[in-house]
Amino acid sequence: MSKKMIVLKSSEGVSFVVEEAVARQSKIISFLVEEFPDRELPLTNMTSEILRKTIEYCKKHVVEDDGGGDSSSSSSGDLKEWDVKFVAEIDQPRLMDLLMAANYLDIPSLLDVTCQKVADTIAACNDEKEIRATFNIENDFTEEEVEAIRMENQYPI
Amino acid sequence: MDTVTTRSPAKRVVTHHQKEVYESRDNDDGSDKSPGKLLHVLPYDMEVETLTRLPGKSLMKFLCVCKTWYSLIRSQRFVASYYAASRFIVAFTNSAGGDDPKRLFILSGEEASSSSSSLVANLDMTIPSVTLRHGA
Repeated sequence: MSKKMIVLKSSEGVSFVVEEAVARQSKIISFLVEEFPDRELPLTNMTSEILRKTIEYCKKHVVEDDGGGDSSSSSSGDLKEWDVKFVAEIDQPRLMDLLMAANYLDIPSLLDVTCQKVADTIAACNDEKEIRATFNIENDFTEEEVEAIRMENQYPI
Repeated sequence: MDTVTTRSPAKRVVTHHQKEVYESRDNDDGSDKSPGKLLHVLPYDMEVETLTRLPGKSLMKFLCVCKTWYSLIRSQRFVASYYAASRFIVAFTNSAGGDDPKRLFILSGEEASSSSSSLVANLDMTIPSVTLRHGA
């Protein structure tokens, strides 16, 4: 029995042919596939690069239920390690895009790893200045306000 | 032919949602400066999702990153979702009357063990706060 394939189209109009089982990890695609079988699914807010990354993740995480277990027989420990490496290789802006893609496509596990990576990056910053610099956040507090917040929230040693 | 494009439901919803968030944020801030840019590309609920994963100590440290973070970290909704992330957490202030908390203490367990998470998984509650009066 041949596997059913689905065509996903990125914002640049590039088509990606994916196995249904792979694509169905996205709840949105699952829904769309049922509603509109045999049709190209346009993902107009996703660049080819991000879509490719997303598919890469889904391919790795697909649960083979038809006996073709050789490609995905990795243990959950290996998979976790793979996830860590996967997000570690992505730069900040693309990580954000990937997080948005995971949210948009509704892929909970990908959303989880991307959020965790962003959180780790934040946690690794020593102070608020570093966070602002890393994430390009504008400081909209005055000196006095910052001081007041510090006073209010001194963290007990 | 027409249906996919017209129905593609999620996209509309997301865009609409984001727009709403930004509008309401501008109002909340009461400032004419644009809000923080980062998570700026992320909608509000994704910000919550991300900040929820930080340990309490970091959160306290990063309150003064920008107003958006401050109000987010301090909001009831955030605290509730922090709870839902199944972390063991205790928070209390040393305020005397409750009007002007001088300090907020948050103790959190970083490791979410499966046994404890099941206890709090479906509780819709905020952090319980204990107010001790001076001399009580």
